[in-house]
Amino acid sequence: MAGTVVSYGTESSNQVRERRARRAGGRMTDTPPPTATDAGQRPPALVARGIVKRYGHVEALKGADFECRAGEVTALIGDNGAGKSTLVKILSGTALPDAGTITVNGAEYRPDSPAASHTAGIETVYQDLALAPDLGPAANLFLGRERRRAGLLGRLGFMDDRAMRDDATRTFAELGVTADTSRASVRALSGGQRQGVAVARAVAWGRSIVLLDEPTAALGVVQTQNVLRLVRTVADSGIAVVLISHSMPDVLAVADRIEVLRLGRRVARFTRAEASVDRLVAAMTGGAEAAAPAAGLADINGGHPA
Amino acid sequence: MSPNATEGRAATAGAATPPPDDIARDGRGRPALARVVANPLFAVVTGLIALVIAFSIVNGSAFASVDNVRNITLDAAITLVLAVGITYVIVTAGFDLSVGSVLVFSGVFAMKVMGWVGGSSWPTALLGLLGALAAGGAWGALNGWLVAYARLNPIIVTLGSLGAALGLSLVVAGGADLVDVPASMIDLGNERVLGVPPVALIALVFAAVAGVVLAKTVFGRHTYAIGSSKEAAERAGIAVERHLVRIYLFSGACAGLAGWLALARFSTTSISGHSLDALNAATAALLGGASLYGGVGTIVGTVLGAFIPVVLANGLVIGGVQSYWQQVVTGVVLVLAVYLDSERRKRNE
Amino acid sequence: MRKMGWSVPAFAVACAVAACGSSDSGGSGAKAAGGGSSFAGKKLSIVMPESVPGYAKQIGCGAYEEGKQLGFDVGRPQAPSKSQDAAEQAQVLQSVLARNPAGLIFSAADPQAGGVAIKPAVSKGLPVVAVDVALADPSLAISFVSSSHEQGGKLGGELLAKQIGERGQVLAIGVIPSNPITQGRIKGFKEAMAEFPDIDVVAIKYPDLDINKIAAEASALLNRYPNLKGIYTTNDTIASSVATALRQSQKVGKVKVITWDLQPAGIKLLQEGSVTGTVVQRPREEGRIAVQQLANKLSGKPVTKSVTAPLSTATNDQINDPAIKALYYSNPC
Repeated sequence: MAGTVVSYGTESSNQVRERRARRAGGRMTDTPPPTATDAGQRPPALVARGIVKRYGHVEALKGADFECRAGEVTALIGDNGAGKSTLVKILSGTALPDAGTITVNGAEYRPDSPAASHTAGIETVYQDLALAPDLGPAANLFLGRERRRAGLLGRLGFMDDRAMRDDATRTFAELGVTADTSRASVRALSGGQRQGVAVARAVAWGRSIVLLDEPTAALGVVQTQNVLRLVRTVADSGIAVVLISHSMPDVLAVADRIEVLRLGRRVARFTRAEASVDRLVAAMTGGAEAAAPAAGLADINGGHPA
Repeated sequence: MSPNATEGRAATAGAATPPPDDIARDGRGRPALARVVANPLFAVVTGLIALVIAFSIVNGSAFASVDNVRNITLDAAITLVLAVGITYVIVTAGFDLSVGSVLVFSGVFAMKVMGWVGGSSWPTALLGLLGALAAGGAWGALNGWLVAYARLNPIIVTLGSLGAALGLSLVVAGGADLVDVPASMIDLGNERVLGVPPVALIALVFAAVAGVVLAKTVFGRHTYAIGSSKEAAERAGIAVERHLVRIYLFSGACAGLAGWLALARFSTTSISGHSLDALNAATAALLGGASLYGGVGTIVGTVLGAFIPVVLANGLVIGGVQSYWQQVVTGVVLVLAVYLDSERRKRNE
Repeated sequence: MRKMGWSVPAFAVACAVAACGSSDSGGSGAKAAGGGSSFAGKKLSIVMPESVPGYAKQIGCGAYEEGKQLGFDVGRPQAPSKSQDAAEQAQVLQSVLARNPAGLIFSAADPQAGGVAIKPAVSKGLPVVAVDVALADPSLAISFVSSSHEQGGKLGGELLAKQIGERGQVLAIGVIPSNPITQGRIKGFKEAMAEFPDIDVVAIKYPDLDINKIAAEASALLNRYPNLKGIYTTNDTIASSVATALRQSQKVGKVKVITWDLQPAGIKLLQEGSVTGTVVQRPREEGRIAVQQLANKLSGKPVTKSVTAPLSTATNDQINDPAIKALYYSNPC
């Protein structure tokens, strides 16, 4: 698509961190995200072990594992039917696993609703964006977390539309999202702008982990670059970013680690250095090279060559 | 791979030239007039103004008198209360066919309560009101539970309660209308407070409060969200099922209030006279810009929409037009309004 | 958008012409010598819509009283839940006829459909007396007992004329103009008004059966005709709404209103004075006559093909008189 209506990455990771700190003021916070230190020594922000999920007779996940670290972009890849979407649903609280454990920053994580995932500091941008088309950008940004007026009015449920709109305008500006907050509905926005609103929402609220499910699938080249730039920025600010993507080039461009799902299980893990298109594809489709343990699989506790 | 400030600027610079394809269809560049026309309330406001002007010209002072305005307001009052409740429901992409029957049942129930308590003064009437609200709310909660948790189609559910509530009304009332409405309520129905009938005043104040709640509170916002995209609301952490039950409960309570007001106005439970109420209420909401697909609708629009059929009927009768034509005209107006609204929506996308 | 009303005086679609089918399996044995004792053990059934509260009950009371005298066992009136629903009534009929009554008193929800429903039983010899609603096929009933709605309309019109001093503007409000009962009641009214040269019938209106809409229409009409003296209505749901409009416009007493029947809602309006007159039907009498006709048929005596029950009027001054009170539809048997 010609031109860009979304331009990300105009802010530094420091700005992202500051903004998050501002928003966190007055809300319940979990352990703050670890600041950027030696990439290899960071403890994992989220560890999922042995996740099983059945839908009727179909086992979508057969004991899948997953891990991501704060300050890193972890790509989750796999062919169709590998179980990526299911894993995302479980991590975001939309679905309950039948077996397995998940910990977030060391604490047990059993989300039974999207709200629970938000409480744990996890935000998700779904493939379909999950925006309410008839509400405006600011309303969508604050959906489910509306700001209330001060005092009695607030207790009665009255919203502070002005504050939300101002905050949204600021947030969008910082992130380079060109969605106009005076618009009455996001339906009137372009696809790229809607994307921007959804990503901004996750980035703005996410304290520990941000999951992005195929964020560039419907975008053009330039917009894709902007999204990837934003992904990098957010990770650099200390958030664990999980990127689900079909696009090998995107993954190779931005990911620090890559985890491969196949038929409901994790079959390979790569660091950026170890990964190549051939290896990734082989791992996804079950080719011989995929299982090479020495190069591909990394120890959970140990570091590995960056 | 941290962003480079200049890189960022370059990207923004690229955004400065308006993109030909991926254009934000936000009409920011449209002239003010176009934006006014695009507003959902535009059609109903102009429609109402046009009707009022036309009838004033044709019928003169018979139409444009204080007495007639009073008549019109009173005629619209009860439908308005129902329409407020049904607007909330329609905004969630639901429907409530049962409001007429629930109105009747609430009236019957209130009569029984007041008869049991005895007396004919204010406390009795208020107890009747509480009874009516409770009865209406109960039916509404039942509807809501079936729609939200049992996941049944709202039309089917409320069709069922339409029949059940009416049948139960007949059972409780013993097959005939109850007519011993307490004197204090009859006074409410017939006297005037500073020239304004209390029934109309209550209806308008109620609508105003409901309108503020829908537009300005978290509850209202979540209502729009659920109607706009149930999934988005769920993913945002909104307790959708619980909210839906409350919505239908509210609609039922509106029917309860309307039932009590109807007792005050007509001095009878008029069990047979409310079969069209749900459709009239829905017409008001739809004329006012609510969408059956959910996510869109305002109480202001509903109030205006409630007045259109009433003004139409009033003006046509005063103008001496035969009864049959009134129905034809009202039906045509509704279809026209919904069509124009869908065109407006398409243009805005 | 029209829904059949329920408990409104004969708002059913056209008076059913269906003669009540009544299985005559009892008849063959029962057609013994005439006289009261020979009716012992004979069951008579009543099927009718509960269109006016208490109306069917009164017919039942009258039938029961007469039947008791003659030795019949008269069942209570059976009505479908949705009183004007012909399909439901057919189902009710089925269960009633399955018990093999000796005779049937029948007021059909629909003249055509009702006839179809009873035809099999009639062809097996069941005597049926049609009440209030004439069947499309009159041959199905041995007798038709009714009040003449036209006659009643005339009486109502004359009463209204008297109340307004035989001069001035009047109008009529009916519902469901395709309903023969409404048609009859309006026709009679028009005939009556034609006899008064100084009375001007300014409008005849048929709004939806919606209490709100009727009230709205009435108040608009009061507005349009500020000198209106009288309003004639064909049932008391309409009268109720008209009374509301009068209260609203503060014209109670200034405009005379005629309604029909004597059930609680209407009686209250008359006592209040917002309605000034009513046409009184005699359902109890109809019940008695119906049973008499059946008795005649079963004992071989001649049957009168068509009988009209008497009609009268009552004003709001008379509403509490003992003579009128005796005719209240809510009176117990």
